[in-house]
Amino acid sequence: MMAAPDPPNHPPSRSPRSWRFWLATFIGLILVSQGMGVLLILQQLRGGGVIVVTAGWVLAFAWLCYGFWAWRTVPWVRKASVAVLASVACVGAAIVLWNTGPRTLSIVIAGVWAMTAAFVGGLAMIRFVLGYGHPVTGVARTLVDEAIRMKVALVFIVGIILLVPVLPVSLASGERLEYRIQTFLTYSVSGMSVLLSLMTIFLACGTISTELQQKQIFLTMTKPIGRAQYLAGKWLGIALLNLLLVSVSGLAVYSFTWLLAQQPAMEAWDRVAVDEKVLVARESVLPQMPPDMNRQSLFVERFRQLYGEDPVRWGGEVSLNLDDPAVLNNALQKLPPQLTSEINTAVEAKWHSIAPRARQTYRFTGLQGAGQYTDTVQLRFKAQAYPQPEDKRIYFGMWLNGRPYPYDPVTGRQQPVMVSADDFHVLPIPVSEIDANGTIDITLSNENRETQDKTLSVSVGFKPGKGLAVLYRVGGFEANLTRTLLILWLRLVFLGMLGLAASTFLGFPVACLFSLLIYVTAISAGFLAESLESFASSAPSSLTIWQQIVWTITVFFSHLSAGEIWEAVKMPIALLGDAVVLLIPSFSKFNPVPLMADGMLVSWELLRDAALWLGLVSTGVCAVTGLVIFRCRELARVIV
Amino acid sequence: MTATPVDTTPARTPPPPDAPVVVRCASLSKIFRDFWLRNRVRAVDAIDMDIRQGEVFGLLGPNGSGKSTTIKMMLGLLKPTSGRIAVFGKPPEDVATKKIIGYLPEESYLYRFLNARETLDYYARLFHQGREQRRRRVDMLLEMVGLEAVQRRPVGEYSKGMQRRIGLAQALINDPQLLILDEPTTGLDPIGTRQIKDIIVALAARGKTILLCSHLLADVEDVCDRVSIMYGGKVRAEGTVASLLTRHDTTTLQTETLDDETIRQIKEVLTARGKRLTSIEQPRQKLESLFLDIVQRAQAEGLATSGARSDGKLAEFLVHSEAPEGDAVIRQLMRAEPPPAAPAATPAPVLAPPQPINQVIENLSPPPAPPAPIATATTKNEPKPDLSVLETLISPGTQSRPVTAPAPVPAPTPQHVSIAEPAPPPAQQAPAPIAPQAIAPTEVPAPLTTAPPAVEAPPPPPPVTAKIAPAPTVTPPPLKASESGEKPDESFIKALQNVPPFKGEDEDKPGQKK
Repeated sequence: MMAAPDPPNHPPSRSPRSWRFWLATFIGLILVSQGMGVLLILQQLRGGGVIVVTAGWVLAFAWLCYGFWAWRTVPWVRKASVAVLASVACVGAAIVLWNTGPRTLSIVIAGVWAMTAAFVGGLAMIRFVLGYGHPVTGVARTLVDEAIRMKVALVFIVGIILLVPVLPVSLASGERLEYRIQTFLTYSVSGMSVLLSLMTIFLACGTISTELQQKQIFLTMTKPIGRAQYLAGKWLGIALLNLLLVSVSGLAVYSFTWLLAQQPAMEAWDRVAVDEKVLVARESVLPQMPPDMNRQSLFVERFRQLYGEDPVRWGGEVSLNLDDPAVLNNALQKLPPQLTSEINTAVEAKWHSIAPRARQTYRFTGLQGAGQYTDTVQLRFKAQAYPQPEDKRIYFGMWLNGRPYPYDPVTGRQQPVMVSADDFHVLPIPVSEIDANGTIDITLSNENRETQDKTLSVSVGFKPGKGLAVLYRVGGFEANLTRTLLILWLRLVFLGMLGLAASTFLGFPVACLFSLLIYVTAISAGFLAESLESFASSAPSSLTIWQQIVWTITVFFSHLSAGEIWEAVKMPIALLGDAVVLLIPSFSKFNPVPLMADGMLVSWELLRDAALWLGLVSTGVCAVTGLVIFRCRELARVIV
Repeated sequence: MTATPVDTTPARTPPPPDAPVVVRCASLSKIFRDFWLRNRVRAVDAIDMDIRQGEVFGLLGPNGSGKSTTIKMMLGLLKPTSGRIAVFGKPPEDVATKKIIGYLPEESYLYRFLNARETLDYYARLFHQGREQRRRRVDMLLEMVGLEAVQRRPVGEYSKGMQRRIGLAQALINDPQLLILDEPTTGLDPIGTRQIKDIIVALAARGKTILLCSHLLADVEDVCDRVSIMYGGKVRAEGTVASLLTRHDTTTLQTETLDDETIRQIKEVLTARGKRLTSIEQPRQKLESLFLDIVQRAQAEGLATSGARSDGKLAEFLVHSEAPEGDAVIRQLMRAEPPPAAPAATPAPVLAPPQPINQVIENLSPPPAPPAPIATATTKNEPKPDLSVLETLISPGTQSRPVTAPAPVPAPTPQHVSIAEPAPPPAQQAPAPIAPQAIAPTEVPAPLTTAPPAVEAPPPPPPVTAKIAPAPTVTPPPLKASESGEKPDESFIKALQNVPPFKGEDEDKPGQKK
């Protein structure tokens, strides 16, 4: 990129004779001094050699500075001199501070320097690539320049460059290393994601609306560039800038994670946790219902029990003979969906819990690849007790495929497992216990003693879903982080197109508010959907779409006829919310940060789905909408 | 070499009236509606206009007369409410056509954060130009508009005139076949104004079509072949500059300074012929010439400036086409069938094949050399009676030279002599076609290279003004607005005075020339 320097237009009074002379002297100085130094060292004159080498570097640096001064009028020399001198100052300060302390400041300075250098280098590369003579790249490159020079985006970029290096040194060092790394990963990646999202929205909304307002678009659109190409160029610029920023911050996050992991752990288990629970990618397998249990019979059993407690609610009438299969079937079919789902939840809870002095077997399948990285898999569980013992301690007996585990190798006796209630615990399970089909049966027994008054027994249970699972390592942290960053980038790609589409018909402030609203909705889509479910009665998802419509209308009028006006009013509101949730892509569905910070696998499938739904479908819908509006728009329209 | 004030007399032949049509508007209307779709502003009202290849077409009108709206419709920035518009035979939205169009908007809408070089580089990239071609063209254009020295400063820091120069440079980056200039000289100093006019003339001499939209009438008069005067969204008058501006009721002679005796003799001769000398005047140097001369000398002395410097030369690629991309596009467009938008009724072909652009350029080049600074032959093609009278009058035994003699160097201050016809012809006879020489301005600035600069020259002799008029010493009646022999300002203002304020679409067109 940098051509040989032309002789300056106005040479300074004492400039070198020519740039060739200067360059020859510079190279000669380095070669001669280093050669002499090496020779001296080889001659066992170590002190002299070091002095000559150091003096050579100092002289070469001085000569470099002189060259910068002599050709300061050449634009690229001026830029290079600023870059070299700033780098020397930063690296020098970092080295000095590393030796004198505080070392944290040294790390921050070095980190900021490295990120800035990577960013500036990447930016130069992007601008070079976009220098290709095509309208789309032309528009994209001007957008990148706009982002850097118009300060709006630069504020966020500086924010990211400061956030990542400052965060690890600001974490309390008294905490367990495992938690520190998890906190750093969560906050740095989420923070980066939020900052880049805001930057993208402001940049995308600003660029087109400003050009329409300040009429630069008159010039661009009277050149041979189609409106689709114009939008594509803007989007490409935003996407590439985001890719660069995500890459730079990703590298920084990785470097600082590695740096944090080098710090001393609190204890041996802490180190193991860092290596096996955080900086890994694990797959989780949920238990299957034990073979001696039947979901249907559990369901019926629960129903009978509930009917016995409240026949009117569960059966509709008091004296049903549930022993008659026909009557029972009829009653089950007449159950409203809410009650069915209530019973199902109870059934799930039932087989995830263990009665006093009882035992329960859980089968885990699909563990064929579990032994690829380690000799053990992890049984992770969070136990709850009812009633809760005062010391919160819960005791289990454990069998693997019917054999007691863990047992004392000396005495050969089974050791009870003691955990504290309501906390996650991880037990290592040897891979050798998993059979060739990738299946293992884990049996747990409730070994809790009766409470002190000896009147109550303690039941223990696990929350269905995350409360009991087998985890096994399937990959490394690096690939996991990369996939995480790619999914976050895909979210930014969507936001960029959203902002561009919004600004084709909205002014800057309104387009920003609109895009921010969609962004917030997308982030909270999962929460929103849950809230909507409990906000108003909505049709069960098991019904077909026509049944849902009929259901909704029926319930709406039944509310009205019952005089529950507010309940009826809430239904259309909820429907509106449902439509919004349906239209706006759910970022919570594509939120890899908690997975990555928890050492869980961010799968290729998730990345593929994100690319499909965020990158293609959502972005495509925004692009088509924006393009249709932009095509119809008269760019020079006078608003009267 | 600094801006040489080239004589702005069109040093080229205007294109023939049957030249291919480059831009065609047919009953073009634009109505701006409000939010409730009520018609609010009828900006352009059923105008018909043909702009032919190779001509410099002037679009005149006061503010809000619909000039810019018309131009924006030609560029596809606005959509016509009704009517048709075709540019190179294609609808204005056609992207490929834009390859051969250059546009300078009424203000330079530039990216403030880019510098001059990056700005031009950006626009060059929109034309698919490679790195090397971009570098070469940007260098040439920066030199042409005189912004080489400040090319690394952000455009946002530029003065309005400097931004205008960049605007002009970007309009020329693709060596356009059709150049649309909307108020090109606003914000420019006289040098820049003169340069733009020179560039327009030079490009037109190369066969480019230029649409010049302005309300600075002197600019339009200097360079345009044909003008159209708009008011209230309608075309009120249209025709060649020659037909609109030539006065047929007076004759101007320009000679060296005459003594009183000669003037007296001339008067006698004229009286004998039934003519009246209406004015004798000592022409003054134009302020423009004086200004250009001062700046030229300052630049020659090497005075520093942080503004624009330019020698006003056309960029090399505009003089010798690097690649015949424009021609190729035109040929391609010519091959394509005309769009349904083009009205079939009009006889002139829309850029018909018979005369490709190269041929036009050949016909036009080499452009004829600018006429001698002193317009000795100004009245050469005028109706003969006046000339023969004057020659027979002056040649025997007078110390003055004949008016046709070559100018001596240094030239004495020329003198203007206006001779009025005894009876001004009716205005309806005016628009007879007249050879281009005939529209030479009656007042030619003294060449800066030869004439002594006014600041250092001794005070000029008292002005001698002689008007030759019919014998009765009655002041001639003031010219009417309908007469075509007026100065453009007057005719323009008169045209406006005659126009009733715009009311609605069922309005008649009193000033429109058929």
